[in-house]
Amino acid sequence: MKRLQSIRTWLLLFAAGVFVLTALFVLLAADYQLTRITDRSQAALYKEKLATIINILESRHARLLRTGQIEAYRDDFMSSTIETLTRSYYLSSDQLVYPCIINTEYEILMHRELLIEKRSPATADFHSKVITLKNGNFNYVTESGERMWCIFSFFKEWNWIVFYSFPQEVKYGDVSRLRTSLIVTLLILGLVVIAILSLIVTRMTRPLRKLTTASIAMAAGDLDHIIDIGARDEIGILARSFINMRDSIRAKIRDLQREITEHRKAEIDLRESNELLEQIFSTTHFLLAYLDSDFNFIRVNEAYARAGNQPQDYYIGKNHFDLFPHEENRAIFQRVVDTGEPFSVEAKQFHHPDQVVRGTTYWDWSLIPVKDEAGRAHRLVFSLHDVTEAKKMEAELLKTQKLESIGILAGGIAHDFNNLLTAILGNISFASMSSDTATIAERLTEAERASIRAQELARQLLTFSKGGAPVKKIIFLGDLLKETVAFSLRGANISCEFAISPDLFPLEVDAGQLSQVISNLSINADQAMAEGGTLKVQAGNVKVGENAPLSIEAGDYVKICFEDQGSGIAAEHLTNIFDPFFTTKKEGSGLGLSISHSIIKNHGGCITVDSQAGQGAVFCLYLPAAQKKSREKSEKSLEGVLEKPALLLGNGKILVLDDEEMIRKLIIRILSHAGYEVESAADGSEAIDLYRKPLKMLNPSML
Amino acid sequence: MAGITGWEDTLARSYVLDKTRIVTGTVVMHIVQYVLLSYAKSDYEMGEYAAVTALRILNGTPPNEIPISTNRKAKITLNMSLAKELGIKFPIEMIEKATFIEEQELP
Repeated sequence: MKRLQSIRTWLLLFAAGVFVLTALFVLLAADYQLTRITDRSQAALYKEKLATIINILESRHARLLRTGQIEAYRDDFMSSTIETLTRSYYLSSDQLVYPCIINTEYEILMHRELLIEKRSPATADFHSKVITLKNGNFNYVTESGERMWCIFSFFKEWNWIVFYSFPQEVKYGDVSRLRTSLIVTLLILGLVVIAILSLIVTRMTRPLRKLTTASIAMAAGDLDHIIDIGARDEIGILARSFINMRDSIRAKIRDLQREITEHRKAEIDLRESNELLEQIFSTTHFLLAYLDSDFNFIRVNEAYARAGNQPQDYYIGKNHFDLFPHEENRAIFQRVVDTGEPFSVEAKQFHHPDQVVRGTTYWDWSLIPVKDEAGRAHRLVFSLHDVTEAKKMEAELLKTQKLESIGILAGGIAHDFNNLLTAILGNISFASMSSDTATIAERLTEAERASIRAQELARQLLTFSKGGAPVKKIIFLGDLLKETVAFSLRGANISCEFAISPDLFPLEVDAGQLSQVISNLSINADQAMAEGGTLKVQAGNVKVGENAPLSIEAGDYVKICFEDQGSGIAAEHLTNIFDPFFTTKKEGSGLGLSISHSIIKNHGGCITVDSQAGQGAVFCLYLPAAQKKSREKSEKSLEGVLEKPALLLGNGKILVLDDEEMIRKLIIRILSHAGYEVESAADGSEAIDLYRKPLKMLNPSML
Repeated sequence: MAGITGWEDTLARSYVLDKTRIVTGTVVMHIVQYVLLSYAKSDYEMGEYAAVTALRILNGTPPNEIPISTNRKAKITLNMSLAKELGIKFPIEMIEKATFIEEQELP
């Protein structure tokens, strides 16, 4: 059935049909033309033959006339003429075409088959035509049904009708033979043409069959079916396009399969990821809440519910700020929804309603927007992490490291103290042994100077070692920087150069913590320059722009740089040096830079380091300049401080509390000398008792 | 008739036509007009023989080698007008072979 429906079959049928139609048309046209030609030629031929016979008859008649005895000789002449004609025209017995003569009485005068002198058996129609027309030709059908053709001519002198009458198949014999040979020729030609066409069509449609086979194979899923068509014609182009299309489909299928594989993998990954997320969401100790853009809870994790001491379902559908009203936070939440920018904050103090029970808590919390297809934040992931413990631990670490620093400093401090005490004792001893007032006064002045230096040293040590929460105050960095560096480098064998800008911005910092940082960096520099060298300390104002590669906000900063000439830091260590407990030194705890980093960060600043192994290191601190209001306030307060202190003479009662008896005695002596009534106490309880006494005595004005 | 002074052929014929009562015939050509029928040797045949024989002699054939010959062709001539007057009807076979006097006179 497919074979019958193939293009080849159709083409062949079409070609054969066209050929048959053409052949039929040619045959019919040829037949028609040949018939006409034959009609004309036969009519002409037999007209000529008849004319010849008529000529004979006329010449015979003319001779009859010459006899002068027409009536006497007429019959003889007629008979003689018939005889002559019979001899001339009736040559063989199987002759089909011969002339016949009848007279107007329809008597047969000359005929091969019919009896002479009998009446013609021809039809009345035949006779009427012959007699009426005299000359001409016509077709007729005999009683036996034979189709005949007759051409005749009338010889009026003798009333003779000379005619030829014979079957049409004789007349058209040549036509018939020609038609037969034409049919045979056309048939042979048709067969040859069809055979050739079949070959051509088969050859032409072979690429199409191959393409068909390939397309069937493709439809069955076989995309590797070989298509070998070398033709350069349209079919070749079609085949190449087909191959390209097939290759393209194959590539697409491969891509599709790959995409499906990737998609499945992605689905698996997504499922795993979802499971992981679900697991994390359920088990993390982070408090997680999923909110809509109106801050209604969609879901919360177990940790969140546990922290709020409520079941998880309790939160669903409730508004966050109905449960935890906080205008500042609401504004932050709204900003995240409006801008789509995440927000996070570290160690933010949280005033919980039951704070009395739990104490102050600190939380790292963040708000991550989840965006819809239009890019709008339509969900929020609210994550909270209780860092109270970490905060406490950090404070502990700070203390620990401070102790470590103190330990490092202890040798140098002891050395300095020893020197100062030696100077004090030596001068006092020398004074006590001297009788000269001027010498005594000079030695005592020296002892006092040494004592002042010792006092200064002690004050620095106190400042440095002060613990507890940071207490920020407005300070001017210059002196603190110089003092702390000098203090830290006591006993060190390196020199120090300062380049401090005189117009430094004031800073709002915890002086103790900043001292600790400066000290750490100084000690590090000292340790880095074991063979000696110079530490360059620079400080100046800088303006940090929006796009500066620093993790600080834009604004005015004081930049302090410590440049040593030590061994530098290897590149692979640069990223770790601020990590806790990371150290390359045998005696180090690895906390110094970590703590420094933490302190500076808590002050809104940052530390940078630039170093290459063997080429020294530069540590720079960026500390934000104090706000303008703070500066003014600080300037006012500093005005009072900077005024030179004067001995305040007066009267009244003063309670002196110090655990060191020597100090107590000294202060009592000085205050008494200034006119005050002085009470002293060695510890707190004694001081409270002393304080309560005047209350009972209704004289509370002593303090 | 050549040689006869004052011969008037028309008159002669008219006379013959009028006076002849019997079948007349001849074997010579010069009187065929005046007889019913004639069977005369052919002048043309003789002329032709003379010409051919002369050529043979001229070509070297001795005259003594040339045999004596007789006429082979003869011409029947019929006087159909006279036959009509005499009431004679010739058989058609003769008619077929003969030449009519009237035809000879035709221009």
